Amino acid sequence: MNIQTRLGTAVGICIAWFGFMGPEILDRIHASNLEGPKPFSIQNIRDQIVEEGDTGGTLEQLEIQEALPKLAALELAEEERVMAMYGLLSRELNDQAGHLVGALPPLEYAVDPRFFEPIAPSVVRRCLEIYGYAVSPLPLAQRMLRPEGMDRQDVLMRILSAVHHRLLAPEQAAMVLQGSIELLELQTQRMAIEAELRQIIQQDSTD
Amino acid sequence: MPAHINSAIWGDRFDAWTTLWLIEHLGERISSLNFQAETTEILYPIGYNLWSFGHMALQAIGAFLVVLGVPLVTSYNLLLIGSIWTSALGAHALGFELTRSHLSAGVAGIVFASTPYLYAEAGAGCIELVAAGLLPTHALCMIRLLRAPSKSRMWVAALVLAIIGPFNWYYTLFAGLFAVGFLCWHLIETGTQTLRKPGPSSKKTGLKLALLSLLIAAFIDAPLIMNARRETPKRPSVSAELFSSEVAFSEVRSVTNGAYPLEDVSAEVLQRVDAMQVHFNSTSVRALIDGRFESNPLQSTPGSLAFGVGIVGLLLGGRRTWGWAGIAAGTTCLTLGPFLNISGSLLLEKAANNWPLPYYWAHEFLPFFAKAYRPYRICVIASMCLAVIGSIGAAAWMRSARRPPILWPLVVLGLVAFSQPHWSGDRPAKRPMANTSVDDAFVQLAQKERGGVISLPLHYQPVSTANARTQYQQTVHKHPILNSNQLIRWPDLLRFKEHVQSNEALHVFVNLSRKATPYSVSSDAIEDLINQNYRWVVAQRSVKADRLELAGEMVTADLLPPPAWRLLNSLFGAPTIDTQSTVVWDIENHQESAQPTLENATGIQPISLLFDPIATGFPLVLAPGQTLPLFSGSAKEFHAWILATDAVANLSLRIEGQGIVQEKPIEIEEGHWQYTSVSLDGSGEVDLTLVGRGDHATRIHITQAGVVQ
Repeated sequence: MNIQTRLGTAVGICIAWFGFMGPEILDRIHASNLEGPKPFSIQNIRDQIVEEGDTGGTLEQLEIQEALPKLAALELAEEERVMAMYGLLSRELNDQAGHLVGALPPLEYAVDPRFFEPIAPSVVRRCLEIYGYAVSPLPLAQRMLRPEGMDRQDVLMRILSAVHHRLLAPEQAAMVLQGSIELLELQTQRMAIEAELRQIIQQDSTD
Repeated sequence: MPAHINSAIWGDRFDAWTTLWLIEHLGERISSLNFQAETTEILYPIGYNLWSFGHMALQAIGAFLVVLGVPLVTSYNLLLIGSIWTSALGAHALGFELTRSHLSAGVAGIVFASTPYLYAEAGAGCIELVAAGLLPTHALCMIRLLRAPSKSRMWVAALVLAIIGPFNWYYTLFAGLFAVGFLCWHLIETGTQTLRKPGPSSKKTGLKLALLSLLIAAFIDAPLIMNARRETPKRPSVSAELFSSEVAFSEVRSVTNGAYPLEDVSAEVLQRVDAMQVHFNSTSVRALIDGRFESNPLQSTPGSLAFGVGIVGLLLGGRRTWGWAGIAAGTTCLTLGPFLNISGSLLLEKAANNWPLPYYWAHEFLPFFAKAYRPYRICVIASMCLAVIGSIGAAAWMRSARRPPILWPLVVLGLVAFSQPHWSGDRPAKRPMANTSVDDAFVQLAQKERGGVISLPLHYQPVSTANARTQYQQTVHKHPILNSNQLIRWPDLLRFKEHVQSNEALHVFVNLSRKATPYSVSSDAIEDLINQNYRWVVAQRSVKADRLELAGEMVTADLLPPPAWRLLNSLFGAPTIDTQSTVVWDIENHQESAQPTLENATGIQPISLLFDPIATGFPLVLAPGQTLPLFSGSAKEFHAWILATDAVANLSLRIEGQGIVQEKPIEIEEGHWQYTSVSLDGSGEVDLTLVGRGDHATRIHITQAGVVQ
């Protein structure tokens, strides 16, 4: 191999490594890092109980049974707040926000243990940063049905997009801020109950 | 830096402030020809052994500059710049020895002096680690010795290795590590047959003299090693179980945050903390591949540029580079630490447990190797080898048949390499320099009678930048201080604990910012402090804020809560010095009483806000005229710690009560937590509201808000 060929090979290796392979490996590491434990859901708890073959009426079981309706109620209340905020977006605003979802920066609270999920705190933060602290009561949701093909995360991302891209009028922003603060409170309550449940289940499985 | 050479430093971690203190202290020692190891200027009155710093030669050079009249901060900055230059020159000299070409040697100089590792250590204030030029210089001496063995070259190699010690014991070990690797490679290249041949040969002589040079260096440094071991006392074993344990992780985090109860701190706990440091200081696969400039030195590596130049050099230089490549690969492997950590997560994944890496065996079984308890730092040897490989490759390119030009590619390489801090990773060059000015209160304190100073809150770890500055402030007021950044070493921390626990007042002062009431201090305890020649207590109403997202749970570590201020005023009366930012009390002003002074936060009602920097980290943004209702009810005083995040912040407190509305402006300073205490002129029912004022939105963080009823 002459020196030019060697240089060409070296440059090729560098381009392949630094341009493609390295970033690809980093992406995979990053993605695997973001994978958390199995999402917490009522169904998961039931599945876990069945998997462990524990069907008796122990004290722990009773505590779980008591907590489940509370969780369900909180989930419903959260859904209502999300839909109430979503209801503030007109069809035109909704479409505009939907188109701009892809232009949102990475979620700041993606792996933040302080929060239940990253979008609601991002809505609060961006509302504060863009519109300042101004709140006004958010009326109850007129409609609880999500648009077809959209889950709660999609709906929240639309709201975040509307806030981030300054599509809301100040009055709407004040209601969104109030709604997202209330949503955050509900989520915090849910986190506390879920943490208790996890502890009960872990204790149960180690006993 | 040139514009602020005497008023700011590059780097804001506790090591930077400690280094400034050490330079100044050594300067005083040189002036007074006092070369005792013990000092009571920090960790007063129990004292601190200067050998525990482990590295004083570079700081001593700074001290000489100070003695010659160069200002302290200028000396620090000159040392930092000089360290990078000497690293470049050392690598250049090594490259020149191997290639006999200044142009190809330039590649080595550029690559070695532009590695992210050096900039991360510089940003952390560890300037003795930036001064890495002696490593290539020692490698150069070894090469010269092996090429043309002579006793004079052996002595030079031994002396260079020996002199690295006082500068930096890590690098002594690393240089020894390199030398062993290099001799092994030399042995393989020479072949056993050559060595077995009877009669003298220059290769055999070279190997013998090289080994002898290592032994002589060890012999020269031997008297210092016992003292140097103070810096790194007995190190515990490491294990994957420990690194994967959530309980151990929480415990260690709590200790390093200074939140772990001091009374529970024991040698066992602190050794666990030390053991965990090995894991925290190991390079992850992610960081290695990323190879960018990171603010956190723990994530620093030789960098993508060094690896890229190494790959090119390896292919161009061919066989001549193999030994260097072998050492680079070996040392890079050692930087990964005892167990493979792919993502860089703080808690080691369970899967890594079964695969101990070479570092683990070396740490556990090689004498003195545990000194290298920060594995990532071994990358300095890998950087040196990659730089050399690049240099050899450049020489091969220059001497190829067509004799292509190298000057312009070298200039481009230099521009790319040295501009990296401006665009790569965390872009350290964009980081603002740390202002070294101190509050006027410390200048006033210098005029007062001599006596020990206790800066509050008293922490046993340098938990924040503001706290770490305490040691630097000592260079201004010159009184001995109890506080010290050096309690990161466990034997000193245990001595501190014993001292603090012997006095009720000191015990209360530890972590006072995060300690729950009641606080109780007796007059006997204060009397005891006076008998120990303590005289001054310092607290700050204005605290330089660390970046909120990095400070995490330590945000409030420096912020004394209202009951603490009340306790201090009750204990020591009116402050002797009060500059609004800093308050100094004279301990001798304590009024003796039979009953202990008790503070149990009576009448203080906290106000819960969404904007707590720990709970949510949400900023409070108030456009002009926007308001945040705070409190309704009976109150005499409002208080809070407020941090303005921009210069245009303008805030006032609206007080509505008994038909009267008044607004009191709140003084805030950008980048500083400011303790705000507003008297409400009465005890009736009031509505308190924060109001954004001025022409722009006011961005703040607010914590510990409350009222006194």
